[in-house]
Amino acid sequence: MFIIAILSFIPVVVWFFMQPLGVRFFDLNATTTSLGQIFGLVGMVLFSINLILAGRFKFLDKYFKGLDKVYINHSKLGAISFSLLLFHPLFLVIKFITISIKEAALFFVPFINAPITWGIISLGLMIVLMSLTFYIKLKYHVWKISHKAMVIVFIFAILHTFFISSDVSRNNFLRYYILSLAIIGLLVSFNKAFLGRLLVKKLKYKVKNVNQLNESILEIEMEPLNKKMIFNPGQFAFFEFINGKVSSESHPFSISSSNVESNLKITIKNLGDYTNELINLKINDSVLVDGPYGNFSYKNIQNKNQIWIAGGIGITPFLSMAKSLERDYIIDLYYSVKENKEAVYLNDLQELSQKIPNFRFNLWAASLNGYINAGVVANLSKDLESKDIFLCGPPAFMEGLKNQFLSLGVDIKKIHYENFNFNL
Amino acid sequence: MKNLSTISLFIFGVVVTAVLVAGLVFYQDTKNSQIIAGSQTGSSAQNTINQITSGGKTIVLSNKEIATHNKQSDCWLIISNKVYDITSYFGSHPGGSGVMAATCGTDATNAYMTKDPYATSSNGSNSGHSSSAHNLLNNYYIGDLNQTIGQQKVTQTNSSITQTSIPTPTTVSPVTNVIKNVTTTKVIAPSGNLTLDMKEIATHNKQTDCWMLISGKVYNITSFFGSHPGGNSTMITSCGKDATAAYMTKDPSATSSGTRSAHSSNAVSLLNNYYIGDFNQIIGQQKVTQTNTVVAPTTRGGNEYDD
Repeated sequence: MFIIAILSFIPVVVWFFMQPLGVRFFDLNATTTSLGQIFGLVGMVLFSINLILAGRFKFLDKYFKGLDKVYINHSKLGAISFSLLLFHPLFLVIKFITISIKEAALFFVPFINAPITWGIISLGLMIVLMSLTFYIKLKYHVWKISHKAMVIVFIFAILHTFFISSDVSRNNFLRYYILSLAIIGLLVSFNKAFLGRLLVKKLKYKVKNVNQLNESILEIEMEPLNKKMIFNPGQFAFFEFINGKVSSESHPFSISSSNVESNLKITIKNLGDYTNELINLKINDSVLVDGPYGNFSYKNIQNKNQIWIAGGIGITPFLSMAKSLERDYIIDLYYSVKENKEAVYLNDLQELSQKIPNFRFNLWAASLNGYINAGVVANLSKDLESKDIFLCGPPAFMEGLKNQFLSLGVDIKKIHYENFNFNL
Repeated sequence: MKNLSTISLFIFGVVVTAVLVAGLVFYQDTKNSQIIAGSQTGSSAQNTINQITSGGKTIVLSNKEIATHNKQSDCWLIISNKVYDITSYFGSHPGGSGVMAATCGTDATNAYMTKDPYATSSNGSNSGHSSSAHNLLNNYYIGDLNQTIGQQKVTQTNSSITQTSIPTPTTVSPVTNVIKNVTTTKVIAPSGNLTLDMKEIATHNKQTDCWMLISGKVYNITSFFGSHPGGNSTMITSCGKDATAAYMTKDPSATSSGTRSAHSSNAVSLLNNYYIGDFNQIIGQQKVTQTNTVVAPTTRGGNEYDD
């Protein structure tokens, strides 16, 4: 976040020194025009950075401590950039309103002046795409395609930025600064949108087995065709299945097998259209795997005294972690389900808890005991202050427990969770 | 963050809709008046310039000053704290010249609002002026009440069709001899847009029509001939060309900057007055009236779609 702030601050500083402030903020017209310029400038910088954030880079995964955080920042930054760009013409139009309302109206009419037209097209399309993102629940893959159209918005925005007479056209540093950010952003998004298969190294796997664990949970086992993925238990990857009946975009799933097994397993709950299609997978279907990503692993925390709490399908990273657990850890795993029959991998987990001395496993069925809460965990595990807490489950489940632990006085730094509800 | 976007989007929608609706409704009204305004503002501007320059370097638009322009042949008035020189509008007023003459040199706000020259309040029995009249009035604007105005950068408006005077604060470096040279104004590109590229600049290569490119900016210095301390001949050779090196070195045949001393900062600020636009910029002719509000000292003329 710090780097982003610096990057967006640089052009503002340059802009400030281009002309004396007395000129920039001479009167209402000059002030609003100046604000309009700054908003446009910063909005554009953030837009460029946001395309880079969307690039699913491993270095971002490390820098932000998890790809989920990258995407949380991406959506925040997107909203800020969008708002800045919305106000950009509003500030600029004030100058015209003081002349006549007609001139002001003409300012919003496209096809009078080419650079302005590009700006209008760009902002108009951006409004549509952002509305789709914020207000209309599209199916994931439809939304994903719609969001890729942001590149078009960006191209028009670049044209607008460079061909309009402005400080960017007058100051070489500003010009090349914005241009290089824009080009990087553009390359990243082109790479992702069109060349993704060529430039991102994806590992080749094939489907070895598809197990229906219960009525709504599917386990897919995959065998590496050449190199296998090296990962930390708890991490996730993007999977792209090559099967005519499964849509071809890649989706993130956390890995449920351990890192010592040769085959890769993911365990998927049927939650929507895509996961519904996966039932059609056949043995020997090809799979492209991009990963690993994520920072959610017991190995990343120094404290070896940990509490793991899983809600439903959120058990998958913990399963991987438990299978590869090193002996010197003290772990209490809580597996919260609505009803006992919903729980998967029960045998594996019970076996592990018998085998590993310091690994305690508690199944918690809401139908019998009510929903799990921080108080219950504190009673059963004791000595909460000395432990780090890992949460994985539905967003509301994690949010609720996190707040309960916070109110019990647990340090927020000791609560670890990964938001799997992000759109990628 | 979603809320931030929602609020922004809402404000954006409201403002744009309001402006567009208001603007397009007005559009019908203003179409006709714009034509009239266009044919008259030229003389209006000239008139204003003459008066301002005859008054010395700067004028404070005080009540006292305005009161001296109280004749039909020299008529300034105040409407809502703005000062207008409506001298050239006599003869075109639908309500006759008499009602206007009565208000010359005074605060005509109430008279304007009520169409009653002797009104003492703005809530008169008569209705006020139309929106097209408001629009028309803008063409006669000199400055705000008690504002100090100075000599003009009339040259900037070269790229416009109508010529209107622009009040400028005295913070502008004193440019005493600019105005007298600006007696003729050209109408560039009466229709469509014009790209300030080398090809276009090259066509303005005479003393009577001289543009040059200096450091990526295009200047029309035609009216500066006669005022150049270094003489006319040194400038003529650079007409229609990239004069950056010549300007930097004061050597018309220079091919690189260096050797001789550069122009003073006073000269640099003087040059601003002849600015048309950036190199390769497309300047249009639709922004005509906008130049009214360009008040900042280092104004750029031409197309003010700034961003």
